[in-house]
Amino acid sequence: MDPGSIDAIARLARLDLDDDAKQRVQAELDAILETFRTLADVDVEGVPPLFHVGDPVGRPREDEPFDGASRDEILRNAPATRDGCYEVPRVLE
Amino acid sequence: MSGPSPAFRSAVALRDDALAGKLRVAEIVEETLARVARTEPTIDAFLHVDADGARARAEELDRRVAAGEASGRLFGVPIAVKDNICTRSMPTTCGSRMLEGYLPPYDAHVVERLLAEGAVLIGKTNCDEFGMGSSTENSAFKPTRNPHDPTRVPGGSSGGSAAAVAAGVVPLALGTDTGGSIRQPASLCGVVGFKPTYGAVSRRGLVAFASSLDQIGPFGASVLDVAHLASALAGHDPHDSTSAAFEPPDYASLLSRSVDGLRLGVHEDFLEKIKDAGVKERLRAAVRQLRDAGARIVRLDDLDFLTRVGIPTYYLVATAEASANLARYDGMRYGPREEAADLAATYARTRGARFGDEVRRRILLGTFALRAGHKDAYYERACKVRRLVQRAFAAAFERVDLMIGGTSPVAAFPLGRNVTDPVTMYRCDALTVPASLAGLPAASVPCGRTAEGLPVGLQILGPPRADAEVLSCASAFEQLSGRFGDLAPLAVEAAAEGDDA
Repeated sequence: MDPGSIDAIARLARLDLDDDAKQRVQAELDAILETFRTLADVDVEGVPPLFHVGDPVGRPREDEPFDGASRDEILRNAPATRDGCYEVPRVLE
Repeated sequence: MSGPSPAFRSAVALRDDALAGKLRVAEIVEETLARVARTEPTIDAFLHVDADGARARAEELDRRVAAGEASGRLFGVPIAVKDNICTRSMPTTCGSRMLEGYLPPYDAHVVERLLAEGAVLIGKTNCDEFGMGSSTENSAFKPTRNPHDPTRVPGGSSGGSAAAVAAGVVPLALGTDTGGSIRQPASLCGVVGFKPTYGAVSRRGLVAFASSLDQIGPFGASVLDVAHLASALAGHDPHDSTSAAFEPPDYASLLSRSVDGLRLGVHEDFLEKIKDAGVKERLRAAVRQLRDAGARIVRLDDLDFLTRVGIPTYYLVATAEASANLARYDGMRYGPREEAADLAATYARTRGARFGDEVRRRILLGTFALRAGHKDAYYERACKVRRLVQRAFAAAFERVDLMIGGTSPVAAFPLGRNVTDPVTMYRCDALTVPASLAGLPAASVPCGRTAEGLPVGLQILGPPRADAEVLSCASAFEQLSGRFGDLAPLAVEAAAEGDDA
């Protein structure tokens, strides 16, 4: 993994990393990926990927309204609120 | 060989006494809180103890007894809950600074079930941050220590729950298992741990790490207690579309089966190739005991594949899912916010500052595995290999009823030893991740101790939905070994002090 890639991945993951952290993580990911090379030797020709082992049939439930949490209970965890709403940084200029 | 610890009364015994009015729930709760106070300075199993809530609950349950209205499979039983399971009455931090102080607006489905069965919630247990780790050293708040030897780790990620049971604090606890996070700490702490079939237990209210792998399950000091809790947890939840439609049987009523004629598969990677001689010797002895009791031990020679591909397949699938699941922590809806110049910078600063090293490592690995241009070579390839893992197990289970082997290739290791070496830490999961990838039910049962006095766990795996069979075999082995829980000396000391008081 080159230094450019760790920057790109950190940007995609929305993670600030300082230079020390970047170097350390890059070395760690290189070591991890090196041990993962055994996967490249497995013959997967024609094998469908398995994304999920659960019951593949979804069972819709009745669309019945129920009491969810109160506004106060939800907003008590917010880092910033105003007038009973989430307050967030400006998205559009 | 150790019998039941004096500190330990089974959940079943406590429940029966509470229901019969022989023991007030208030007494059970006071005794439990006293044990918390005696053991926490040594093991640090809890992130939050709800003494007031537990006392209020005890009063309520005692009033039900007085009114002749008491019922419930877990009536009066104190239970600890891993801190990645949402509780309305207690903070739920997942061991992360990202969720410091988070108070969920609802109870997880499993918590609703515990309360409906009459349980008393004692507190929230420590864990590796978001369940990512094998030693509980990745908790942002503190490491938990193994009650058998406090210089060593309890395993992880559900290390607090395993340690609380091993120390005789609570008879039962909830954990979660994504790649071994119930079974491995159960093994390292000398208690029983059970990961149900994927989908058997609702994940609603479990903070997601890797959704196709995460499963909630019980810890206990005996298989019977674990079976009771497993039955209470399992069943369809219309609010979790991945919860299975099957209604499980009452596992506890099916435990008496012997192992006579049972075909138990063993692969050398799960036994003979384990390098730790002390661990291997205990496992060999366990296999001999099962054979002598009439089980047919069948060598499975063609499963090298499972341990060769298990770690990379698991870590690619789990981190890819984690990178998506943990995208929700952006400092907008919960947790603290680290303000920066603009929105994107605020996200990045908050996430960079609040996630710990291992979580950041896994988010980056998962992002790498899913990145355009890499996805075919990493994530999708891992999912194809996952299919082959499932097929390999399916073929094995045509020849055997269950598989047995080690839970962990090592006993409890010293705190700090592996924490800076992710590759070595990941290898601790080599024997547990195969069952996770295939969604299989699997238990870890104590099978003795190494020369250093450290517990070793026997793992029992079954085909999908063979939860009752796995627990039944675990119970039969427990009877053979005469080892009903292998609680730590700390539990015995705590009980002795309590008797003196």
